[in-house]
Amino acid sequence: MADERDLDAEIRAALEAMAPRPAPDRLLDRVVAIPTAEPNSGALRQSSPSRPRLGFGLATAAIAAIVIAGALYFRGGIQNGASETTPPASASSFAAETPTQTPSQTSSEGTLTPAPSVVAVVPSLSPSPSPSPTSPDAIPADFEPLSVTFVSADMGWVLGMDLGCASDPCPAIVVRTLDGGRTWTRIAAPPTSHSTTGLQAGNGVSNLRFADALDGWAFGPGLWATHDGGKTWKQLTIPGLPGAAVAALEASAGAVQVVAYDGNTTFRIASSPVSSDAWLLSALKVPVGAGPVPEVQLVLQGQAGWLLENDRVVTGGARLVDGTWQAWQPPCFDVTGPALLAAANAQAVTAVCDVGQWSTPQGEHLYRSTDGGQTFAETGPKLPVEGISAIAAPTTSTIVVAATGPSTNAIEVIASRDGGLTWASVLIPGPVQVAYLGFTTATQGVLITSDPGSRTQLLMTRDGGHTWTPVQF
Amino acid sequence: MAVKEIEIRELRRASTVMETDRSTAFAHFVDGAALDRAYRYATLILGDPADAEDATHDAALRAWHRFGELRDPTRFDAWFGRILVNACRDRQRGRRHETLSLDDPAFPTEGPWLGVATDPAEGVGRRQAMAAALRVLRPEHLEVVVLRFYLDLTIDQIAERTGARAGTVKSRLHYALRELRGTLDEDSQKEQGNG
Repeated sequence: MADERDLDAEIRAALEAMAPRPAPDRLLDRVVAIPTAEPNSGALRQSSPSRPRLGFGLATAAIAAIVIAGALYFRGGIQNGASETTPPASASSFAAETPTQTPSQTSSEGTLTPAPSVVAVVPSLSPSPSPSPTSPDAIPADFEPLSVTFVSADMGWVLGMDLGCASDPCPAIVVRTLDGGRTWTRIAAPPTSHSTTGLQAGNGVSNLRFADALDGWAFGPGLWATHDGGKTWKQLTIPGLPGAAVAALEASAGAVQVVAYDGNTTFRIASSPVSSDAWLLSALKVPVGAGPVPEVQLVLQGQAGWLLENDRVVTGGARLVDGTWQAWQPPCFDVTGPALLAAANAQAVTAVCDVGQWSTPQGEHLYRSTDGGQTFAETGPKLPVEGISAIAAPTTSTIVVAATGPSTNAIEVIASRDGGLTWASVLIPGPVQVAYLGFTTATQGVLITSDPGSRTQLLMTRDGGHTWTPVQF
Repeated sequence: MAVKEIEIRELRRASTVMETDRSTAFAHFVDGAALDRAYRYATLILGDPADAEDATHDAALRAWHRFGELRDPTRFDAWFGRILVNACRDRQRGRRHETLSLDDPAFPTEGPWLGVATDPAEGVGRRQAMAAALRVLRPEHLEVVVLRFYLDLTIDQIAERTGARAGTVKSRLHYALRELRGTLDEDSQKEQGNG
């Protein structure tokens, strides 16, 4: 018997040693995506409402509530992470996205390795296996990405258009990935066109955001929503703002926030739960400045939010506190230049200001807040770049900035791993513009380049910005 | 507002909750801990982490499609476990049986050792010998060994997951242990011969 017990123990020990470490985050992301990717399960098929089933339905609702509570209990960290950092890495002109965390992946300081000394763009990923190019479901060969949004390391969407389309403007196209950008599938798009009209009212779209696997919006200046993962889209009008042009949209903590230009003198903010279209218009009005082209940037982190308006110089702002938008004087209000914001969490807000751009240029300066934007203090030396176009803060210590290099006209991406004290170049994409820069996790980020003379390109990094891979569709 | 309207609204709300929380319930059951267990089992059976990941994903996908068959939530582990066993078998059918290489960095050479050896070096050697012996077991034998000694399932539970009768499970375990013992003895004799 002793020999049997020894053998049992040896088997157990060997199996324990052979067993791998926990399942990779990628697997959890893939499984979480299943209900969206395969919505037609045979489970709990929805029955047509009928009186005899009322009790069953309500009982099921009660059970579901228990299940939700259980899920939140068992997966507390995961759910909390998701709920606090819903806004995905998404593209918009003159917008830097707040960082997001995947359900199974937590961002933490110090996880990023030092900036590389050698800039590297690795060969592109294999193109997606797709239907025949002639199929209406195929991604066009000349597909141009314009806006990107990820809700986890694996699940993301891109809004784009077919450069070879026969109409002008081109119809909007939406593609989706469930494997972190390695393969893409075309899905339904809102029945409208890609728009370049800026703040002029219309129903075209230029940007895309998803809050989760089901709820997403295409906007700018029009506003379209999906609540079934992109299978169907519905055009929306914000009550009280007919004909307004949507300038910015982000989602976080179960709510979507929209900034709309009323076509006259002010920006207005409206919000809705992500899963419904129950919009509530804030009483706050952010007046436009005296410049020719007012631009707004909306940054959300958890239940906190910041709106910054540039109109050549910092013109105005608003801050979301306890669910209410309040008037806010942004940083660099008096530096006669524009600013860009990023937030690593609800307290850590970073601003890069182009000091003196419209008076005596003094370069790009970094300001940081540790109290949610109430106060800012200048941090570190002047940045070694000019003309900031995008900023992201994947963690409180990591800041990534896209700007014009100091000695060339080429766009350069620089990163600081120590909160802005030192900077290193991580990518020089060439003489193109960076339309968007954002991070989905502490290590996974996206960047869209644009150039009037060439096609836009979506690049992804999975190592905190050390290497950037062109994405093929 | 008429009573009927209220009822219809409640019905719609309840239906929406059902539909929405089908995925929430699925996510609850197939949570991180369940996936960890499933992934570890699949890796032990298939030997390859990438295959294990795909098999676990396959199992989760099948579970989602058949979620309506799960009438008793307390039976989820057994129900999902059987789906997983079948997903791993499907993977095995498509390829030659392989397992973790001892050279694989995933195979630790240090760590807690529950064996009988008192000499640490001997312990590592025995553990590696056992791992090597496990690698060459027939798939159906490895299956019951992992279910019994890694997941600590009873004979009846193993029978339920594998779809085999309890007697068959006992028989497979018996032959698997005999095989393992024989392989270890053979290795031991070789070492003594070399020494």
